[in-house]
Amino acid sequence: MTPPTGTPLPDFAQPPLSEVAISVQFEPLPRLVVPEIGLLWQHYGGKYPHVQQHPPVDPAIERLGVRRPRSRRPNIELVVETPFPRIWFLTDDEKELLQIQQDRFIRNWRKLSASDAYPRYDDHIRRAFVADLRDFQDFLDTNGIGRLTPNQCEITYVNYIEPANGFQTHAHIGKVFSIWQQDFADDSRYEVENATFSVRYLIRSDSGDFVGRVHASVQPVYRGTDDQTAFQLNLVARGKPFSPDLDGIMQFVDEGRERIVRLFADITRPEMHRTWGRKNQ
Amino acid sequence: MADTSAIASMEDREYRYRLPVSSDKESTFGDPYFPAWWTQSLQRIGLLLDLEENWDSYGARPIDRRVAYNAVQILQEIAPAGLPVPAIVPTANGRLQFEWHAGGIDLEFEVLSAVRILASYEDAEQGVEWEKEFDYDLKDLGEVLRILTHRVHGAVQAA
Amino acid sequence: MSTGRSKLHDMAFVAYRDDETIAGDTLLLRRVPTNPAINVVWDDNLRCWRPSSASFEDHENGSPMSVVLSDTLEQLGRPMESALSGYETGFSLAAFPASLARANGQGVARDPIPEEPAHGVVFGKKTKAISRRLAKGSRWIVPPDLPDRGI
Repeated sequence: MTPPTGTPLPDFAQPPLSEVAISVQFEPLPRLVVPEIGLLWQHYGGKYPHVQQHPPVDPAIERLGVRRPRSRRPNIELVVETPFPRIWFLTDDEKELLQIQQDRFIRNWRKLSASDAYPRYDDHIRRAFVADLRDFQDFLDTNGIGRLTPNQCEITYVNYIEPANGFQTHAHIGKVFSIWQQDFADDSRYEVENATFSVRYLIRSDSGDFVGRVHASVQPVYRGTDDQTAFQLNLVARGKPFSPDLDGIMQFVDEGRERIVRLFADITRPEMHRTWGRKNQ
Repeated sequence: MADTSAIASMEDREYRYRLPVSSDKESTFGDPYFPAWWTQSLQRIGLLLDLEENWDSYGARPIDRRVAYNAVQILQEIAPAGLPVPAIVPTANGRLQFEWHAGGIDLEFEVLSAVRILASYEDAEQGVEWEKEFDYDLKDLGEVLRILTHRVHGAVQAA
Repeated sequence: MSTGRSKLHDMAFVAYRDDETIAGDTLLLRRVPTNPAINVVWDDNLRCWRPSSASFEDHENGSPMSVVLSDTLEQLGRPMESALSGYETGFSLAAFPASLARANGQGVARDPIPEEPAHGVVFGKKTKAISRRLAKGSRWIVPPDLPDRGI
């Protein structure tokens, strides 16, 4: 699959990232149950000393030919037996975590304080995910739990965009995002209070076959600690692995990440890029 | 928009469903949130999920709940408006098969997993017949559902 | 005629051969759960209730489709309804001719078992289309008690 353009990837010294997650979904592993989770925690030892339990996340598969997106149809939940939870394994500082359930493996980095620097995809995020996924598969093999048969991959960038360059309130959405017409926002006939939007883009292979989608969504938010105005920009690339193995998973994740970074640069204004320290134009 | 939730009880099984409901009528147009086939299909699936081992007397397996969930999700995604209520049958291997036999069309598809669907289509009127496995691209499957829907509704209107 | 391989009750692999002593008009009987209406569908094209194609599939473990052979029942002096013995509640009985199976690339073989001396198998790859042709080509010996949806 050729990258969207041949130009170098946009690079920012201080991107407004608050969380990055890489996820792989796979055919359910019914033998991954409570005792095995206990063994897994023992296996991790001091690397992930903290554990939390959360409800499982529903499968999310990108398909072509969909007439009705998930938000527009009734959500059905089969309440038949106790669903197996999603277990969080957290590092000591809780900035990085694994989320594991019977059909999904996720690795997150999150910014918990203003001084936390984004550890970079190539330097750390990708490497850590690959290492932990390999380790997880080894654990499954050793304990006879099963093989991972991946059916969907996902990379998510959550951006928390704070006021800068004329952006003070949610009405100034046009000062942040290039796909929002500034002229409309400045038109005194319309007193914009806030705005939200979402866009979906298809990802196709070189031969035109459907692979997945990139989802971009913008929400006006307020920071919980001090009510500071901000926009949350979520960028998610989700699709099928190129092949049902680690290489195939990472080929998609790398492709998805590149599309997300280019899209981020394309839908935000150059004035905001200066705030984020764009290194290459 | 306000969220409301309701619990419907069917036999001994509870199905919890949540739908976004507009507190004000913003428009008289819009997609129906509960298509006709949906409620009947849920009741049917509830019945089938109760089947025990050897329900067919030939060693059939109980229905795999995850596969049933995937089946409903997939049909929700590709069903056109006005889709006739499908016949839903269990297979001996613990899966669900959706079927329609009307308007000169025989359409069946069995959900094997979240990303494997085996479908069979025959249109006696057009002389078309195929059987294939779908994974992520369901356009052709959605298209034949649309053809079926138009064929059946056209016949109903003519009657 | 094709041969088939299948796991038998004791997990031993057996090669089946189409048995020409089973005449084309021999009926192959198949139990269908119909009360409740599990594997029966209303076919509006045919204007009748009929078995679903799902009732005419092989098992995932490779075992071919089990049937009861009408010619053997006749030799044993048993009525066809006796194929439902032990399953009188909740099941109907459908039948299709051996010729229909063979016309769809299947083989038919005798496979008597202690529980059913008239037991046989229909072996061969069954696509959904083939299973559906067997279903559409079948007739009820013991029909389901379902309301007619014809106008």
